[in-house]
Amino acid sequence: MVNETKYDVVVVGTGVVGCLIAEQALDAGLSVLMLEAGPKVDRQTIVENFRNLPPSLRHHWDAPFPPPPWAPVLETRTPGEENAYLDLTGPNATAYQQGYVRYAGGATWHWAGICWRMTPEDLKLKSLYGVGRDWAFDYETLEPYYARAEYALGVCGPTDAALQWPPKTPRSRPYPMGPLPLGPGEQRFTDVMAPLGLQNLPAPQARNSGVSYDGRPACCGNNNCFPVCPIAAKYDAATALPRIEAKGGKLLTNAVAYRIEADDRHKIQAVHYYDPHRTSHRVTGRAFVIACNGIETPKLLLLSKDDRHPNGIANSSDQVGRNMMDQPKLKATVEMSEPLWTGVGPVQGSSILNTSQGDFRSEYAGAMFRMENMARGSIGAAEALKKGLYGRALDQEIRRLSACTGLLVVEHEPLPSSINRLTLSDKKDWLGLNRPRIYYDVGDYVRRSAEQYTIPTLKKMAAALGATKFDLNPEFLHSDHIMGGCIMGKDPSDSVVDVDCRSHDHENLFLPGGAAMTTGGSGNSTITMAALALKAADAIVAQFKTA
Amino acid sequence: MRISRSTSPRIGRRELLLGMSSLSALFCVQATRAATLSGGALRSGVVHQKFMSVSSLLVPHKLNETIGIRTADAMIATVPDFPEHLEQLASFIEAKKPADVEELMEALPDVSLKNAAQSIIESWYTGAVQGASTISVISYEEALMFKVTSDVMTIPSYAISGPNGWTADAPPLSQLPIF
Ligand SMILES: Cc1cc2nc3c(=O)[nH]c(=O)nc-3n(C[C@H](O)[C@H](O)[C@H](O)COP(=O)(O)OP(=O)(O)OC[C@H]3O[C@@H](n4cnc5c(N)ncnc54)[C@H](O)[C@@H]3O)c2cc1C
Ligand code: SF4
Repeated sequence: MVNETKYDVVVVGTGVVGCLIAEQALDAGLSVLMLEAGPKVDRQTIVENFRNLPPSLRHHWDAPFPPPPWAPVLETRTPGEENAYLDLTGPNATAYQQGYVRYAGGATWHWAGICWRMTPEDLKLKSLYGVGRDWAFDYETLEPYYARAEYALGVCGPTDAALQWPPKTPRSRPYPMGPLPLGPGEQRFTDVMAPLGLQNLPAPQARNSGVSYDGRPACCGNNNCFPVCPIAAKYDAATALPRIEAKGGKLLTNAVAYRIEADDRHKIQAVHYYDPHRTSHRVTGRAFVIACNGIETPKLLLLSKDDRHPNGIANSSDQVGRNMMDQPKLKATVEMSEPLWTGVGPVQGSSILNTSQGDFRSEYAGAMFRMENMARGSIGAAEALKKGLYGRALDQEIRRLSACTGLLVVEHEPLPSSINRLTLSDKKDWLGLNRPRIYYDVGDYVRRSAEQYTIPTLKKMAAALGATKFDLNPEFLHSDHIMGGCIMGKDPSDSVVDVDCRSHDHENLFLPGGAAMTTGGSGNSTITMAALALKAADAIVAQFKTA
Repeated sequence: MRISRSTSPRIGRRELLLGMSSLSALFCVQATRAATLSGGALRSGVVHQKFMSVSSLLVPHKLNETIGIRTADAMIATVPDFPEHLEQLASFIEAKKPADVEELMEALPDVSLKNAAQSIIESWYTGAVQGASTISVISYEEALMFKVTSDVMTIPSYAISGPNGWTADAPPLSQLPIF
């Protein structure tokens, strides 16, 4: 056992959530240690890994990020491989095949960077529509943290208030950068959807629009935001790490936290981690932040059970690992007679959100619709080659299929449900730690929405685009926004953390990020996770000031 | 197929990174040769010349010889009966002198030769060689599939314009780029 110096704040996880908190704590003069399960890997290695993949694997976002044995994640390169880590069960197990990266920097390495805020109504599902739960605070409380998160990540967005989300809701600050241009596909999609009452908004995106920001260059439309932005124009947490280290933060990589240790008075004293030699180490601190993401954070709490905490750390409510959420996704491929031309600009740049709001939410889920903007050249080529074409006919067919096909996507708002539960699997990983087992059922609220609302809407959208083919994949898929496993609430008997993501059970333990989210909304969730991280950081700093 | 994962408890950063850069080696027998692409160290032999000459009829575009050499090498190493098929294709072309790929494919007498021709075409378009049990990645940005839409679409991870330099305009579908 090696004993490290005692730090003011020990942060486990170097994703966006961990990095935001670490930097705030350092700026307030606190000493910070960050533990990271995976290695530090440079951008060029990941870009080369991507380019060296066989063409059929280039759409597997996990493939350029092979995990070391001690920090496994879900992988999808070979058939059956997806079952090797996450132990998924339940009627919609496929919809919980969550992708993330356990490298320094975390999953923002391959996020798309889309940053929709939740709306005031999204935070009040129970009181407005009688479903789910209400958040413990209202939108006005969250708004300043959204603005800070947008500046911390460098989010570009529309300056025209009519194009901002949430609608008719004051912003305390404009976006730090103006919007990115739309390519031909997203512009055409916007124009065609408008007469249907579907407003396709330019997305707020964590990539630099027209100018450099935070030492990172302007986006040049490389259309590779997932799996990796080759030039770091898109925010990813790896870009924050050199700054954190320059400010005096200590970073330990290849350090897999496996136990949180509490004392007799429920105060957290230490975190134990394994190095790649399976040697255990113990680090001590005054405040502890577990920012390992919505799956790994509840897993670590459950792994940490001891005699005084038989259900795991922070789990007197028995809510740790329950209420697992994500926006269940449906996809439809469309083929048209007219060209759409996706693949110009970022991989995602706009979405329809007015479909996420309305009184119908008492009956079924709201949803966000969009058209993916990925370059479809390789997809078109694979299809055309399969037809056995050659010569000019081959070129014409590749061009037609690349230009005249598209992917429509809908992501449904989930409700927290205690049956959607993460527990410890009896199957172990390379270090001998229990793998996460997750039961997942998207629920009737989402199923009703798909049947009565979103699938019919997808069909209408396809018809308006002049689709000659509409191919719906009827299986719910994952959106990779992992939420709910340490749910926030005022009542310690049915929630895990308070309004500052502080554990109800342990005053010096913070569990910020997706796990703390009370409900999920329809939009991409990371900006909300980031806002919660900044709120938690303020609380941590305040706690040190009053101590 | 070996998965790049060691069960040794003593894995250092160096080995890990080696494991990572050999990610492609999982799928590509030719991965280590990629470095020589720009190095000019490859020398073309008789088979390579035959491959380029057959390819120039099968794929009516400008073909990069270095890529051709590496593609042929990968096919020799991983595609069953490739040298025989190449020989037969070359002789057939020599004898019948088809004007273009359309005429050749119409005239080819047997399915296995048609398939061999098709797999050569496929390798130029995808930048990869599908062997019996492996895929060799030969090139990324030079794969012809990207050239067909290069007037509009980005090759993922390469930029086509500059900061906010793209627009909603697109050229006509019928206007194929020359490549
Ligand atoms: C393909 C894809 C696209 C996405 N696009 C978007 C998008 O456009 N918009 C959006 O809002 N969201 C998007 N997301 C989701 C987004 O990536 C995540 O919500 C976000 O990265 C979560 O941040 P985090 O800091 O909570 O967790 P992570 O980024 O997962 O970071 C957690 C860190 O903790 C480390 N860790 C885990 N376990 C341990 C342990 N036991 N000990 C030590 N360290 C540990 C991990 O290695 C990792 O570095 C996308 C996700 C994917 C997969
Ligand atoms: S479009 Fe390109 S430059 Fe812009 S964020 Fe995406 S990958 Fe980076």
